[in-house]
Amino acid sequence: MRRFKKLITVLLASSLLVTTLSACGNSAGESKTTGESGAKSTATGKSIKVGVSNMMTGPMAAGGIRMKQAITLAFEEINAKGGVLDGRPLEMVLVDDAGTQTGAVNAVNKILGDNVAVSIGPHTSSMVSATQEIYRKAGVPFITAATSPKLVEAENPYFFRISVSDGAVGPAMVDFAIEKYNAKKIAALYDTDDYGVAADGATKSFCDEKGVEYYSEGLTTGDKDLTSQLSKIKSWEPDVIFDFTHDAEAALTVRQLSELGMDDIPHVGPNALAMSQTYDLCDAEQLEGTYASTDFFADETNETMKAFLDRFHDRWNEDVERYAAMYYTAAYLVADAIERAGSDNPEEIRKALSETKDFEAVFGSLNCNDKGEMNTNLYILVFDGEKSMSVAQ
Amino acid sequence: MKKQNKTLIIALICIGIAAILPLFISNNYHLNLMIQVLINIIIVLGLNFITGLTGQMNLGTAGIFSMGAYTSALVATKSGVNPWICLILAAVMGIIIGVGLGYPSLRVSGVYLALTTIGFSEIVRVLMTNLTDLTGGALGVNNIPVFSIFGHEFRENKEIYYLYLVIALLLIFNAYRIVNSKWGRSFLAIKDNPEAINASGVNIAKLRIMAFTLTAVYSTIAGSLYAHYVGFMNPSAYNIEFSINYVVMLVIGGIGSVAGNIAGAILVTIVPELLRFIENYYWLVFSIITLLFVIFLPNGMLSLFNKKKSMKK
Amino acid sequence: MQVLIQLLITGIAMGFIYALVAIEYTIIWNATGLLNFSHDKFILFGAYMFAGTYVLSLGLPPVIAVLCTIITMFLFGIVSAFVIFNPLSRLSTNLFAVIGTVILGRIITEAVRLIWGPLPFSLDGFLKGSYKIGSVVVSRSHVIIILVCTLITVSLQLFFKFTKTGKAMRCVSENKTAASLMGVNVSINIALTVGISAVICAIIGILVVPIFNVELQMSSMIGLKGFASGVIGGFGHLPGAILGGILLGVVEIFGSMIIPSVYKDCLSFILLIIFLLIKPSGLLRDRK
Repeated sequence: MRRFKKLITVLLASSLLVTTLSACGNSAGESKTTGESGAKSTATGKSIKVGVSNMMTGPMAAGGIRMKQAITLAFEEINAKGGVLDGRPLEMVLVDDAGTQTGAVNAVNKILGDNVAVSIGPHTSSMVSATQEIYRKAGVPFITAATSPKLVEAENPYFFRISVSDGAVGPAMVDFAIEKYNAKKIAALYDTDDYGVAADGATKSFCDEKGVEYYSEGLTTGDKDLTSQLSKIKSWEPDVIFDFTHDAEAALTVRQLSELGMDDIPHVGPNALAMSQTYDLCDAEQLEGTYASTDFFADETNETMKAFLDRFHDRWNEDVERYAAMYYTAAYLVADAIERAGSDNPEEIRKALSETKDFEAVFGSLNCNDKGEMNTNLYILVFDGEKSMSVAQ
Repeated sequence: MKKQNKTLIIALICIGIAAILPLFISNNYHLNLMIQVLINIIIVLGLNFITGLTGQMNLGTAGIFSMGAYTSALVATKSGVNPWICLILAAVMGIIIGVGLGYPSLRVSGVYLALTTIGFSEIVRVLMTNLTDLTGGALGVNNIPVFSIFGHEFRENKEIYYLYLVIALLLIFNAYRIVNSKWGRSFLAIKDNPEAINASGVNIAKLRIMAFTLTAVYSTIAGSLYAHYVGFMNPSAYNIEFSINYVVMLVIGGIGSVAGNIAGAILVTIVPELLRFIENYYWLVFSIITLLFVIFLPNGMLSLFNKKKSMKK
Repeated sequence: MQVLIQLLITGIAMGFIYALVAIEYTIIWNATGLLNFSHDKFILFGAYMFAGTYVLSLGLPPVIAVLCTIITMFLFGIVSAFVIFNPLSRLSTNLFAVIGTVILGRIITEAVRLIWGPLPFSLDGFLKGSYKIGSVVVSRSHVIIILVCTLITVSLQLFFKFTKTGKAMRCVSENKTAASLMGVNVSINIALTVGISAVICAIIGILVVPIFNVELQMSSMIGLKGFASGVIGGFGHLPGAILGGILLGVVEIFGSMIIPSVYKDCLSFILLIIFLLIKPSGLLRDRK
């Protein structure tokens, strides 16, 4: 027995040692340029490094996968066409931020330690608010699709946003509810995180302005049973229900609204609901007639969009959703900014990004304002009985 | 005497290495990692008191740590009090948590501490997320001031590293003294032989609560140090997984011994960072190694070098 | 009024889930003296195996998929008993058992994430829909939960009272040494208990698939609340576990009508602390 124990300990110790050592040996090979099966790069010059802080693991991993796929595809395409600045390929410095603030701080520090010219991500608002100052200090611009309106309060010239701020989403939904349903009482379910609170606040003040009654109930990310929130809303008898929640909770809301017999009240969901990963969690029947507000819509009637959808599907055998479209755009925006800056100097690229005008993204055109906000394209979609969406406004 | 000298020499060598390491490292990412190692060492040393010595499980490190961090961060940002005073307030918070949570859970024997600490962590997380006016909700507290001495602000990672190294060394020394004192031996006796110690008239509950209070104070101090270092706090990361990480550090390094705690904290903080290339698998690999440790080498790595002390059934 | 009835039914359904969770770890606790901190991951594993593998990949009809899941999870339980629970229960302090099962939980989560991926999914149409009685709407999944949980509770009681294996299990939980002297194989007994516990976990997992989604965090809350129900009812006491669970479910749902709903999850932990302070032996158990 004792000999056995000794053997095991030696094995354990050596396995730890081996993993550690091999890790040291391999950590250099971390940053990969392109995937193996992607288009061949024709750019041969010195590569330009682009940082990507991406949630490969952790609670947001689902979005992280799309983000990585989208940027990889975009870089492959750009490099296959000869890269930027006369033949210099873009190289992705991909670091996992695990979807947490500490992870993001580590990841961004690591990216900046690699002397990148410009960076993409991190994705969530709390990760961005934790890393904004690091980017500012290092003088490296970054592009994100985080949506919290608070982020611009830092007045960081290195911050660029290609998604629509949450502050703009709520008012658009209120306008829609008034126009379509002549709503006098609007109730909302919101996540008590930065996104939900910001959207709730903006909606509330806009409702006050319009003379519409507003009532809202909070939930915490990860809540499974929304019965009490929805019951309270039900007894308040609203004309329209909004919800400002994330993927899992948005799907649960649809289901539990129907199970509590509230499906006759019009329901406008968040951008999460317009993503396949979310609406796949719902029954088609329960989803019918539900609206979703989003800054991204995979509109197959739009040619640019259709071409992108096909390319993405060919490369990854997955469908495009919001993360993919946003970060695909971010990657092209990076290339465009480097071209316009004419150099790989971060400061020059920042200047080019801030001068972005009529940049044609797959979902519409981008124009940078003085706060680094680029996107104002917003849609309200409606689901039919077969889970497909069309633009309602 | 001879053994003591040896320990002293090893300790001095380690301190020397820790002190000169930053001279060779200029990369901010590596410095950042080293500061996190220091903070983790403090937490694991604290965890050692209750889990390593008295054998009670604490799965609420996340809650206790974030209470310390938030106390410090909120007082500093809302009232502009000097961060050093905030650090002391955080330690006081640790005493409150230790007694307040220890009293209901440790009076009765059983695994109740594990359950109440998980519950406490969850409550803390929910409150931090939802008391938006006080805590800033999920976006958290930003722009937390840094420590300063005589008007000198510790802003650069290198300076912070040295400052925290000094604090960590003080806490390590303190922990070493406690572990090797009468207290420490009484704590250990609770784990190994509760009947005997009960018969000798010692109040087990009181000792356990004391050990847990020490744990809580170490964790809240670590929380405060962390908050003033990173400059922001947000509740999302402080879930059960966070707490389990520290248990893993404790087990891998060696339960009950200060040196083991330090080794565990260093290893478990750094290896996952190195293992990022196996992205998807690192927690699986690491967890399996830990489980093997628990089953075959419950006293951690250090028991390999310390044959005499290894626990026999 | 109709809202009250609706809430009561939801509360009882959730309460039954908590009760089942409490039962599932209590039988292991009684047999081995170990608290299975990975129990919520067992539930997770069961749900993924059922929904991910048997229904979605293999396309089995739900009834057969349920049977397959139960069999697989029973085997999984037996294996983990021999590989993990038995060695851990022999170690000098039960601290290592706590750590060991906590880590086991993490291993299962990571394995689940690698096997089935991080994306949440759901089963279209599985136990979905609702019944309308007058103006009261009751969701079908809640009704099924209440029925199945009652069935399991009753049959477990019968099993422990009337079958030879069940009696042997009760013996082991009373006194291991005496049981082994009486010719009961303690190791096999523990393995069977863990197996049964794993089966209950699988059933819980399957039952919550329609109300939650299948995702990595689906079971962590019910795992914690199951612990709270156990303490409230009386730790290590099966009828207490059931009562504690239902009580918790109902208190929680009505409590959340009074306080802001976001603090709902705090209620169970506050109850837990109150019980530890006032009546640590729980509702249904005398002080030993």
